[in-house]
Amino acid sequence: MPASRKEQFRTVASVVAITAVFTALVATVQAFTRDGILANERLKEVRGAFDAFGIEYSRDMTSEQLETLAKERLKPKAFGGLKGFEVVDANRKRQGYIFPIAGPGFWGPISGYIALDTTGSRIVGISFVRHSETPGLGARITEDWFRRQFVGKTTEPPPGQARAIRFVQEGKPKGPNDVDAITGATGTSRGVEKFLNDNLARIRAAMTR
Amino acid sequence: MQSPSQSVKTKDLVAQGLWGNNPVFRQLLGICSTLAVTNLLMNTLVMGVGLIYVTAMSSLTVSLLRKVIPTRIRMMAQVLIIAAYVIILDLLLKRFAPDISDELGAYVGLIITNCIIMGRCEGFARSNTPWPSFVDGLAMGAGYTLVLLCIAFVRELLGAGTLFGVQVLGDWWTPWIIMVMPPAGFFMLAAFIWIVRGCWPPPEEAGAK
Repeated sequence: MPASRKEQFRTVASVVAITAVFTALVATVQAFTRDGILANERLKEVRGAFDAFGIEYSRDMTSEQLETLAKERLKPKAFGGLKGFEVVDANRKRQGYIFPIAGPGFWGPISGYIALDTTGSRIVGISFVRHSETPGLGARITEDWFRRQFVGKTTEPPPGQARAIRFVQEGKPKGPNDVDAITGATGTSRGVEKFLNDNLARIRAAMTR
Repeated sequence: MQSPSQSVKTKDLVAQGLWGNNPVFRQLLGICSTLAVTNLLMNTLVMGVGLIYVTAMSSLTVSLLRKVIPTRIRMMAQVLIIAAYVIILDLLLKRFAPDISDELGAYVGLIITNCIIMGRCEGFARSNTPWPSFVDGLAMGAGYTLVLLCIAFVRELLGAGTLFGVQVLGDWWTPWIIMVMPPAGFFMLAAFIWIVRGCWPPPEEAGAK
């Protein structure tokens, strides 16, 4: 039965009113939380950079304390078009480098940091800050055991290899620059392998120029 | 002031939500998220609390507005209300519990698609008064959470050897990786429903025997 003009008007007016009320509610919460969320995002990035290199910090540190530490220890440095950081100790002596890395994972983009030694030829550490991978599977890239594998690996491909870092199945024998992929997270492992090597190639090229 | 008949009703609602009319193993709703989040207990707990909050608040709101929302657009209005509460939850998590927000990732947004919430709004809240609707929302959400925690307990224990991230099974245990993957969600849930319905058949089925 078709609705009368009056019913049609009432229907449209109700939809508009309900939408307006609840959109306003969400917008209000968003306005109140926006700055706090942005601050949290920034802190995550700073902690991610620290984690990659192994710079010690306490989880209880306030954002101001973390920013101060970042200003002391990380000096922005550009290598041609590539932006990175020089890591310095308390006496301004260079300890290594940190570069942001990013690329597609299985479900969405992954980003993090890679830390290199003073020669830029060995990996000191790695961290993954943003990702949308499956918890318990692809998300395991953030776990210590996975990240520890990259420590000491060279950024140059070993002789006879096209890629610097190779991901192999867990349990299989590994060469000097091989790491275990995550069982059950083939998509994530392949994605990380690809973009990590691409990023490393770009970093090597920028640093040797 | 609550009359005696209303307070009996509250107890009934709680019993129904937790057991008699449990949304997962009696109504068979909310299955998708059951499969996805039950690989880790902590994720399950946070998801459950989030769902209890959204179901209760949505049911309460739909009940308060039940005489105001025209029937022909009631489902659109319900989805809008549910989505608003889920987005607010997401913002609050990102602002006040960013680590947990990262753990859950996309699953928080997917609460909007959980059939239990729509099911209660459409099946109960739109034809009942606010307080019973609110209690029904809490109870159904709690029933869902309890079922998921049972399944997650088994999946995390056998799939990772941990409970809530704490290592429980020693090195002698080879984790059953399949428990952490989606297929395990399927058959664990099926096994759970089979056992519960077998040992405690709903009244209609018991009468038919």
